[in-house]
Amino acid sequence: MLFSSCEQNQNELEPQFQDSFKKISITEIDELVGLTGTGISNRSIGSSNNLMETEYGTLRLDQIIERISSSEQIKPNYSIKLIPPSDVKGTIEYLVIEYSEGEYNQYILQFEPTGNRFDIAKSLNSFTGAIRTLYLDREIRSETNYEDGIRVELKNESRRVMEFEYCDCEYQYVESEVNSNITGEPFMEVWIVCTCYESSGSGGDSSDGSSSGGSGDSSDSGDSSDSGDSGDSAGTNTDPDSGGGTSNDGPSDPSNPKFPVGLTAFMSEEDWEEQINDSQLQPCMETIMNDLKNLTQGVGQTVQMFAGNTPGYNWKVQDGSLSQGTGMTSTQYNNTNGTVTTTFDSQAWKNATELSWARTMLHEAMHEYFVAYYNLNRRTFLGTYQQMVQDWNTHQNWNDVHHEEFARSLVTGIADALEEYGIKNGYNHSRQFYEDMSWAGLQGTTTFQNLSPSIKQRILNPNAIELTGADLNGNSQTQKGKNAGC
Amino acid sequence: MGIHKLKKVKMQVVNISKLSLLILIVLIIGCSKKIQNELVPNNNSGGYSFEFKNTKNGMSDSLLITGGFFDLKTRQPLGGSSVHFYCQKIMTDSIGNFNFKLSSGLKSDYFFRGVSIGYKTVITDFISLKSDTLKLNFYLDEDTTPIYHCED
Repeated sequence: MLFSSCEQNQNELEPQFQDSFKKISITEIDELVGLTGTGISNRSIGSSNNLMETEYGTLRLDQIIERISSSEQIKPNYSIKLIPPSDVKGTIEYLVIEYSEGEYNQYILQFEPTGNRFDIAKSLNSFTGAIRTLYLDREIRSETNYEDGIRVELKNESRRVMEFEYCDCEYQYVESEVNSNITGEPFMEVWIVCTCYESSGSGGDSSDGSSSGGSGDSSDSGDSSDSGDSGDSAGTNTDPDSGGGTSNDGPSDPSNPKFPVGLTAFMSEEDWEEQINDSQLQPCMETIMNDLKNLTQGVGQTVQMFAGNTPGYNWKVQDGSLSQGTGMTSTQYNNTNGTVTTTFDSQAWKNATELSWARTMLHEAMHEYFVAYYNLNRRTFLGTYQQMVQDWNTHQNWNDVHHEEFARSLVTGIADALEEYGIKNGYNHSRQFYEDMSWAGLQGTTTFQNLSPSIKQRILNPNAIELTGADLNGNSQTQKGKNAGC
Repeated sequence: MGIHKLKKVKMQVVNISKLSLLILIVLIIGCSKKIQNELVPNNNSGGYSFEFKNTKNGMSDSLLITGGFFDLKTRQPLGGSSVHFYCQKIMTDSIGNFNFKLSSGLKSDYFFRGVSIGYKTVITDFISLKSDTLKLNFYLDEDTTPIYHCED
């Protein structure tokens, strides 16, 4: 069993972690070289403040963990938060500097959750995706895949020859007494210790008698079903080419793995979570956004995802002047912090109601979702949204392709969320009103154009009224929502 | 005897010369090859490279077109792409490779469009298809145009 003891937040480390970890702070590379005695600097290509640029990514020197794995360990190991290169998307990484057999070795510990299925840090025990170790040239050293926290075999085409067979990892959450240097608030820390096992045939005694493929950690005992699954998963595989190994590959003595690698990493929640950054919104818009964060219906769940801890799905919303329209979402994905930015032009639409802005925010949230999903896992995106791939052949721009998909499949979801927002804010409007409102911005789509003229008119009028206070003919009309006050 | 030997040697020289000439002609006609490795620029900031060659004196009854799609900056392969020319659309495999055959009757000059979701389309110049094999690689630049919410 893999991720154990993850459910409960605790304010002190469990016994097996105590005296193992120490947070240190190193701001000068010379100190790090001195600590490790290794040639880390020969790969560095520049540094500033607490960041050090290297060929394999950017090291955050303000996030270093020192760890002694056991009393027999002569020198400590270190892990440093690593921001991967820009072409590596959707991963969370650490540089591990580890003392073994008289010298320090370095490699990268990489987490790659699959698509959008990796929910929150507190649910790591249902992790779906890959955990890898990489050499510093970013070649894969080991890879283990998980489905809902259970180790699974790789598909044939994905199998690789690797030095290590797999890594078992333990996590523990600790409420930190140290305030975050970003938010100033206490934050959650996640400690991780992984033990990696050599793959068969790559040295060591790979044929000893154990049939256990899972972790041997004592904390697994409380979750034996998962442990058994994991063991079965490894044990039933007899394919010699498999990355998963055979039933004889597991360690006979879990406390003495064939390759006793103690990967250590420290994660603050900032690594995994965040958030909707709305600090640059106008107060009137911020109020609406805060209400949207609590929606549970329709696409409101997507907004909740942004507001939660899902890595890679961070949304920065800001106010700004636009040359056209009410909002604009960038299709550029910030790989460093997993963020997509949306700009709302609140000052250009002084008569817009809060219902109009709420709808626009929900609409833009879905753009953010598609942009992030595409950038995090393009291959999965192509499989999930095959019609969008087809649409690209015709439209060849994201604007049209997104909106065609919205018109096909998201109008109801936007209406559901907007209706929930309306009800929570004391409105009592018809379902038809919310559905009509959810068409805003989609008037150029094929689906909308195929509607009858009377339905188009029915849809466009309330949208114009809620946005401007006037109908399509320019006549002032009573708005159904309150003026947003922007 | 000496004259006979001289004639025989001369004949061999002639024969060798004819053979060399024949080989040379075959090499020139039968194995002509053009490679455009340097990326041909495109208005959409991406580009393409191509390589075509004749292996059968240009008399093959079909034309094999192969190639792939790549991210311009990272050079990573791009699955989910497609090659368009005239009424045809050829989808790539999951790692951006494509190959298809044209019958000899369709051999002419064509231009191709390389299309991949999230990337700017690359359109080639007209390329002569009077060869047996064409290898055509597309290098596409990401489309980072923002999305606007227009209601009016």
